[in-house]
Amino acid sequence: MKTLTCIFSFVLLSAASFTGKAQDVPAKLNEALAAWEAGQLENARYALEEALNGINHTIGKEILDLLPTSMGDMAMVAEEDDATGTSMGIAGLFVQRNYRNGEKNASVEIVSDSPLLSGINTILSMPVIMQNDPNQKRIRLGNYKALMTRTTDDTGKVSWDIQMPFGSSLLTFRCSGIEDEATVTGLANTLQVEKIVAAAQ
Amino acid sequence: MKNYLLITGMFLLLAGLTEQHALSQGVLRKLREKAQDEIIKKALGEEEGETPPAQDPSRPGMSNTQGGGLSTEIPDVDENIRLAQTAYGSKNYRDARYSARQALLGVEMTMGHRVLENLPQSISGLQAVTEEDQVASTGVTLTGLIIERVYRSNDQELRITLGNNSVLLSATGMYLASGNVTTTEEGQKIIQFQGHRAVIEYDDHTGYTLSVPFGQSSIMVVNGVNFASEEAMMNAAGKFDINNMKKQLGEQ
Repeated sequence: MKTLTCIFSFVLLSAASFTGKAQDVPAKLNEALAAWEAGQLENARYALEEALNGINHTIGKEILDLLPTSMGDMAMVAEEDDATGTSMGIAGLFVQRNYRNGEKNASVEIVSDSPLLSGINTILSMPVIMQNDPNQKRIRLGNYKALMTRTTDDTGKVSWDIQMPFGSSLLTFRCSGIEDEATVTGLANTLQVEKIVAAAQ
Repeated sequence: MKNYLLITGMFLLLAGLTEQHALSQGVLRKLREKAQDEIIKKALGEEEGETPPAQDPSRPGMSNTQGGGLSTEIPDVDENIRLAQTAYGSKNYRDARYSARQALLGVEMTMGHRVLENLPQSISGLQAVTEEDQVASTGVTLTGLIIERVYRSNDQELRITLGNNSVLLSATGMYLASGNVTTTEEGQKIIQFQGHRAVIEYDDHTGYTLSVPFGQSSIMVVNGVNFASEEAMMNAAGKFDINNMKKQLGEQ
């Protein structure tokens, strides 16, 4: 177990070190082309990875523009907006926006190439699995199926996770401090999921 | 501990290979099925060269009797970079991302083939089975670039698998290099291989397995089946030049 802990710590450290700023995409593509033509494969690969990060960052900013600026009475925390072009150190898409009002908070997160995808898709395609768990149910966000999970911590505070897979990406809406399920699904349905999916895929 | 290390450090490497193994296993299965069909035909007294029925009566529609499969051409890197530039310039970011990924795939596949070209053609009397060479690039996901070659005789096999540019391989390499792995457990031990810290294991079913993390995010795994001793296995594995591989993969 100690070994596992050590390895995952290394992975998390690696992930943290990869959250860079947007790259100058045209410059990186030019650099990749020059390196490729010069036979410098490793340099070409590095430049292409940087270009991909930059493209994902640009797509991430477009998605942020599609997200609401408030969730009910919770206002967005603009300084916490995140549209890094990487997730877990891989050139993928990672977008996050947080909302807060006192004890209540919510967040929207979009991750591409998420390792959680297959598990969620399995649950969504086999609803019989959820019959044994009263804290999970299938819902719809726009035209997409999603998995809604309710959790209660030791202090009795209720939290909600709504996970919506699309393609190789995962949209997650989290919310805590609100007890009423209908209120939570109403907030989640303010997301323009069709437009978000179109931008992210 | 050895199981945790291997499972965690290389599960995605192996996951990336699963598809490749599935492919080769599929070919082997088809060959085996064909051989079984021939035996059944002879047992039933059917003549060789008999034309198979064009349609399986249990399945409506026509059976496929020809076709060359899918092409395995390496994506054109120049063209895809230019397409990415054009798409990005016209704010078509999805196409830009697709083309950039294709270009990256092309670069990695080229790197993989160059590494294969520089591997020995035979080792300890085992000939390279070049038709089973594998290069798999997952582009920008956890597993990175995977390269594989097999050397085989009638009763021996040596399989080399290289993983490169993978986040989790990087973590495994750092862990091994950190000195935390110092104990010797049954069936495995820590050794030095061409100046790199490595792990060698022995299992009655799978034989010897040598794992050598190198550079920042690479690993070489050599599996030897039916090698008489650790010394014989290490002599064979020693024919692979890690420093040369590092250069070709752009590792430090």
